[in-house]
Amino acid sequence: MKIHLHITNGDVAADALKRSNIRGDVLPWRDPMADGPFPAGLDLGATSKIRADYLSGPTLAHDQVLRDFHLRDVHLAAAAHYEGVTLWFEHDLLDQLQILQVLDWFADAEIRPTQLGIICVDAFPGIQPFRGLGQLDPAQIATLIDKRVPVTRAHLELAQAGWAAFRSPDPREIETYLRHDLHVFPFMKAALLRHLQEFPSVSNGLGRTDQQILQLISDGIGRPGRVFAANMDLETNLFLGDWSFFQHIHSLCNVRQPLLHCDPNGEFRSPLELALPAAELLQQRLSLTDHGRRVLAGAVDVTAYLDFDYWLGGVHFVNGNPMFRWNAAASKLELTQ
Amino acid sequence: MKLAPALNPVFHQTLRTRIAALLNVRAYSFSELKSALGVTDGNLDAHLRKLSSAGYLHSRMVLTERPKTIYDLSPSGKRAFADYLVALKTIIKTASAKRRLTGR
Repeated sequence: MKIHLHITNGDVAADALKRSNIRGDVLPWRDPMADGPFPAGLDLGATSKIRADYLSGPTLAHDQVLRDFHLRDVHLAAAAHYEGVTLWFEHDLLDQLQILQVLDWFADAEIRPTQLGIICVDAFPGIQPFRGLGQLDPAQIATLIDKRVPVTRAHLELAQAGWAAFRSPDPREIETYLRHDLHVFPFMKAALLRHLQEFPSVSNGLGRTDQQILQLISDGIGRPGRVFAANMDLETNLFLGDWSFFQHIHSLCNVRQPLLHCDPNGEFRSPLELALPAAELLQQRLSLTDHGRRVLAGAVDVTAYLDFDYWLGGVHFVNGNPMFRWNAAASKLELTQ
Repeated sequence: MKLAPALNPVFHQTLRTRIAALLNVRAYSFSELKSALGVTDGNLDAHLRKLSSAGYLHSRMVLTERPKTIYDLSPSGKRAFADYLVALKTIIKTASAKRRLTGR
């Protein structure tokens, strides 16, 4: 088949590519990978099943999510039919993780003579701040083709090592990975460091996003949409999309001993939730509970109030188990009991 | 005697021909396809997977009241389906010519 396959991070960039003068098929790698489980040792199909379980809910039906993962995975498996495959990604954590997952798959795939290439950028002339490829129109995104470089054995080996480290139940493997020469992935170190900052802190057990959320609300920002926008401004690179962000608010608010209270009903309802009347959305105001104030002040560890049961990559956080925590001052992980 | 052209097996299946004929014109959601074709979820799933495994399917998530994915043929799918239609027409033409020749 004398045609090219382009793999990119999501629908907005995929649409721009489809409407550009870049010829070929386009495959969006649709998965907010900074959140949720990626257990070690599973192949792509088994991982997709777990991701579908995690991502489906009231707004996204499980069969729809699972179907789209399956369709994505079988399209990737058709890579050898193409004369070339190009990965189009940006510098943030989501994209760096997608690069690791996709190249990990290619490392074991027999696709010769298909040529594999990658485009990965952290800037575009005239766009400030540059958050990602989704900001580019079809003419702009097409110009990036000049930045395509061939994927080498070094890319594939480092992607395999990085993907294994990200999925390991022992996140110290990520710290070890970060000591490699990663110059072929110029944005990987900063991205994975941001991932580690999401681990519970040694000071109060909050990950960086939850710490920022509590701080912003303590500073007087109460409307969920405004908290989302203000939190984005605290990030150097794009970090969480709206779905993931509101999951964080939900886990701080709609629990047995909440750190957040949401007026007028006490419980937070995500703006993405179906059938949420606009009036109710606009009425919602977030504030700290006494628990939230104590945790934010560092007087109490968050594990005193919240039942941990969540995943970051290959690490499963559960109350009562030894836990890896992030020491921001030392910029390293610590294993705590 | 001119041989009949080979037919692309990805498209040469009753339901997949119908799916491709629809997706060649515009994008459809899963439920729209299911209702247009009168098939079960599992059956449609399997045939969409076959199309995607040949690289013939594009998808896009659209944020309407409820987020949904819509599907259409990829550029390689459109090209392959056009080739399939040409091959079909050639076969029909050849068959019709033979019939005229034999007078049956």
